[in-house]
Amino acid sequence: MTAPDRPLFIPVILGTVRRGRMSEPVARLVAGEIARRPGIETALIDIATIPLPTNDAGEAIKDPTFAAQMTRADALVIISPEYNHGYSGLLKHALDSCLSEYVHKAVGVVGVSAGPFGGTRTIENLLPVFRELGLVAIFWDVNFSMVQNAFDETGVLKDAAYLPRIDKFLRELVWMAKTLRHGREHIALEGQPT
Amino acid sequence: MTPLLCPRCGNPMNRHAEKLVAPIDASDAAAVDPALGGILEEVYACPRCGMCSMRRVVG
Repeated sequence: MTAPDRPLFIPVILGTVRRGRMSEPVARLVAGEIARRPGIETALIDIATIPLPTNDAGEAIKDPTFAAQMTRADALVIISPEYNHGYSGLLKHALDSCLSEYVHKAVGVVGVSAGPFGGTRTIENLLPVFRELGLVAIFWDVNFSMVQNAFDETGVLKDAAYLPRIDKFLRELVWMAKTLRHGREHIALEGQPT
Repeated sequence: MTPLLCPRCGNPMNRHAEKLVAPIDASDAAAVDPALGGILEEVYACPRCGMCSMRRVVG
């Protein structure tokens, strides 16, 4: 039995816990753009609110709520600021707490930086992590350079040029999410179970 | 191995991937496939409710 009318679920993961983080208005903007699309549901997942201990790692510390959201997800959007040319350690800590929940699901990254490179280095650094987790990265990114200039003091986007970039990014992500859902649920791996 | 039924809705699940995982502790060591260099797990998805699951390949 299948359920073709089940809406896509594409949560947005805010990948930093730093105080004063400028990635938060970015995450809210992207989640809002996803929510406007018919047939797609979303949620903003703030890694600062996931109760993960730091005296262990991996699936041993799986949080039931986060794991359920990853199970339900057809694709992920990760908002990742660039800290010293890398991603946040706590983002990796959260991602590592699941595995089966990710396999053959789509992922796209929105890079954020205070400088001119829009988080390109953090995006590149995340790609091998996604591969090992079974996530399938799309080839569109969104890059917020000089993010401190992109929003006003209330968190409203000042530069409308970001909107068509987000639209292109989401179109690719939704296509990949639909394709991979079909594959996960209907196309069997060749060969018999061992 | 027998077909996997969805732990949430009971529907037969689709085996769409195999994943090689690293052993975490000594109890995992016996499950390592020496030819593959890790523990082989099958990855399943439910066509009805979207549930995903993994199970370890035994033997």
